[in-house]
Formats: sequence, C-alpha cells, structure tokens
Amino acid sequence: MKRATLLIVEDEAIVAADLEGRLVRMGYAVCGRAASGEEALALARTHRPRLVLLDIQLQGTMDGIEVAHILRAELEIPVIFLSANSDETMIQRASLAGPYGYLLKPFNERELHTNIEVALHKHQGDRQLAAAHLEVQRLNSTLEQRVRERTAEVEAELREVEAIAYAVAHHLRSPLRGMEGFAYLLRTRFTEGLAEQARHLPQAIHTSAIRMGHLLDDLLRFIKLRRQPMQIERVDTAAIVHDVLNEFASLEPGRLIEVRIDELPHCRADATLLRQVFVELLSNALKFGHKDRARAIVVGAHPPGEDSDRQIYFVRDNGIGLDARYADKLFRLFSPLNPPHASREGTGAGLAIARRILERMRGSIWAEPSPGGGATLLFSLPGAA
Amino acid sequence: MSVAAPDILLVEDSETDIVLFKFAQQSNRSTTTIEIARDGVEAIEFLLGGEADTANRGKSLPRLVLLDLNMPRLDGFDVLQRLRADPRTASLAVVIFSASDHASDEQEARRLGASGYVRKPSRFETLCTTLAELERDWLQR
Repeated sequence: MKRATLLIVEDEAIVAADLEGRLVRMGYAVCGRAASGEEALALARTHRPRLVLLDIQLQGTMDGIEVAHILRAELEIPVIFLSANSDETMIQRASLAGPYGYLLKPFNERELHTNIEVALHKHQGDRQLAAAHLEVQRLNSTLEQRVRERTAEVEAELREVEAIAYAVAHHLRSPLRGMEGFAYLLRTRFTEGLAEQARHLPQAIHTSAIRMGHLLDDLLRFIKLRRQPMQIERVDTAAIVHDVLNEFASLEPGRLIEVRIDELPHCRADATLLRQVFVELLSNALKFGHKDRARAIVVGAHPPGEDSDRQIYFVRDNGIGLDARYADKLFRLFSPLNPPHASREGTGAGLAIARRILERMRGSIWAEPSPGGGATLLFSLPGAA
Repeated sequence: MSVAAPDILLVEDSETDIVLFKFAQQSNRSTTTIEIARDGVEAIEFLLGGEADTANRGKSLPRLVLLDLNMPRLDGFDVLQRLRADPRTASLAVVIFSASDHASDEQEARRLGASGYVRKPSRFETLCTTLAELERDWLQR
C-alpha cells in the first residue's frame, strides 16, 4: 500500500519536528508542518493529505477545532486531535468537529500508530459508505422517475384505447338505428309478403339490433365512468337506497319490489356514483329470482371491524345463486356468466360497472353464496367515522 | 327548390336517418311537408341563398329546422352560428337533432342560440313519438 501522507498542525516547532520524525520512522509521508490554522488549510488544500494531526491550541486566529470543522466540511479530510487538554468541555467541543481520534499528550508511538491506522481505515469505510448511499439515492430517484414516465405512458395509451372504443361504439349506433328501424318496419308492415319460413326473421333481426343497442349503451357507460368527475363526501347510504327503490317502483308501477333495508351507516363516497352501484346491485338481485322461492332481498351493513376504517355493505338475495368457482368472472365486462336479458337492465355489464365505480372510490366488491341459496354481493368503502 | 316553404327543413347527412325519418312520418300519418339538406352547406344555401341571391330569401323559410351536428363540410354548430348572425334567420326555430350524448355539445348548441336540443332516438318507435312531439311543439298553428 502506498504510504499515507499526513499533515502536522502544531504551534510549537520543536514538538512538530519531533512528531514528524516519529511519523517518518513509522513509514508515513509528511506533507508539511503548520503552526497556524490558516497555514494548515493552505497546506491541506495543496497537498490533500489522507489525515491531519491537529493540535487544538494554535498560532493565529483559529484554534484546532475550527480548523477541523473546515477540513471536514470543505475537504473531507479526517483529523486526530492532539492535545494536553483533557477538560470535559473542551473534549465535548472537539467532538462536534467529528474527529477520528483524540490523543492526550503525552502519548507513545504505539498509541499514535494505532490511532492513525484506525482513523485511516475508518475514514475509508465512511467514504465508501457515503458513496454507496449516494448511489442508492441516485438509483432511487431515477427509478421513481422511470416509474412515473412509464405510468404516464400506460395511462396515455389506455386513454387512447378507450377513446377508440368509445368512438367505435358511438359510430356503430348510426347503422344500428337503420337495422333496428328497417327490421321494425319489416316486422310490423311487410311480414305478409315474406315466405312462410321467413316470417319470424324480421322479429329476430329486430331483437338482435335492440340487444346490440343495449350492449353499446353499456359499453359507452362503462368507458365514460372513468372520466366522470367525483366528489367524495360523507353520504347517507340509507337515503340513497330508498331513493333507488322509489325510482324502481315508479319505473314499473305495480311491480312488487320486496326489499328489506337494515340499518345502513354513512360512508365516504360520491353520492351519484354510490347510487349507481345500488342500482346495479339491486337490479341484479331483482333480475335473478328463483322460480320456486318467494323473493327476499336484504340490503344491510356489517358492523365495522375494530381495526378497520372501512364500511361493508351487502345486497343479499335468495335467487338462482352463483357458482363460486367462477365468482371472479362475475365482475368482468359482458361476462357470459350474467345471462343476457331482453329487458332494460341486462347485458352483463352491471357488475363490471359497479366494480369500476367502487374501485374509483377506493372500495372493492366481492360475492358470496347466501346461506340457504342465492347470492350476496358485498362491497366496502371508506367509513364516515 | 320548391317555391312554397316546407314545414320542416331536415339537415342530415345520413341517408339511413333520412329514410327512417320519412318512414316515421308515414307511420304517424303526418301531413307535414319536409325538405332535406344533406349537409351544412346545402342548409345555408337553402336558408340564406348564395351570396348574390338575397332578394327573395326569408320569405320562404321553413317553420322548423332540424339540424344534425356532425356533418362533413359545414357542421351543425357552424350552420347555427351563421343563421343566428343573419337577421332573416336570427329567430328561426332551429332544433338540434343529434346522436351526440356529450353534455358539452348541448351546452355549446344552447350557447349558440339553438331553440332546442333533441337526442336522436335509437329506436324507430321512439323516433315516431319524438317526431310527433316536435310537430306538436313547433308546428301547431
């Protein structure tokens, strides 16, 4: 190993010369001797020694402790104090300069040598650690930057894909209006002229066109959800559920809607979007009734867990139930598990829409079989407590 | 171009929608007379005439203009703006008849002075009802 270069800072010339002699005998190189702080800094800047042996009492305006602070901050050169002063206050003050050693005069060669070697190794280790730390910081910041960039790219691509899907769905409506309208005219006015075997075809075309219209509507609704502005606030869940049921009742007067509403705590959500979730879940529950059972639908809430600030609600029906093996597929757009209905509600988009809404509001949704048959759909949202 | 003004000028570039509209009229047994402009430029020519031909314009305006928004050449907003800027058509009944479901389109149309905004129905039966309502609201003498 190359001989380490040291600098001696000592106000007494004889002591300094003696120290230099000892250091050289130990095998170190000495780049200079300084009697004042100013001189010490000038030599240190020029020679960049590996270590400075620093007396505290110096000639000139600075003392050794001040010099040590500058050496550390400006040049990152470690120091060992050499002092006859063992006063506690002095030692405390000296410690703040971050020395790599404090040798009380008089000291012997063995102590000096050991202290110098330990200081050199420790300083080397500190530098490597600092460099590694910087490298980690650099990698972290570039990583975050790259994640941000990639996320932005992916989001831009997603927006583009959705914009295309939206435009396609929208443009399909125009030819679809033609199909639906002309099929309707054929069915209502011109069936007579058709061959016997073909008379049911206009009706079939018409039904398909209407179904396609529902699919397009749901697709457009699903895509638009992402852009719909949200206002998250404390909402009265019970009022929303009552409102939804009133609307159902007014849409189909005379239809018996048997729903029991348990106590529903408030939560934090967007009122319009939460309303839509209940529209989807309640239509779902009403749609899939079991032919052998009187319908029984319950809207309720689970008491919040002690450690949880989430509110769980459920809509439980006793209908045809769901196949637990495919429960995760329930929430996909146009899932084939949701049988298509010719009615207003049914394309299989309802639960996908509910999931998308809940995810936007930091909630989640899942399904369980109801005890005694039927399905229970549960969702959680941030509580209002 | 007809000498007598029609009741309705339908500004519509989709042939399908034009045919459906006429069938709906037939289904309703409507006696309303109708003229078609196949885009914004034709609509402006019909309503305001060419630049030189201004003498007799305004005397034979339809009683209602149904205006599609999304059209080649001149779109519905441009047509509306020009009609409102001209004293002869500034107070003409112009109802937007568009498939657009963007709230911003309706806002823009109202800002530019549309007399109404009706979404094109997606089903023929609804089209018949809508047409009857338009005639009742805008053409009843």
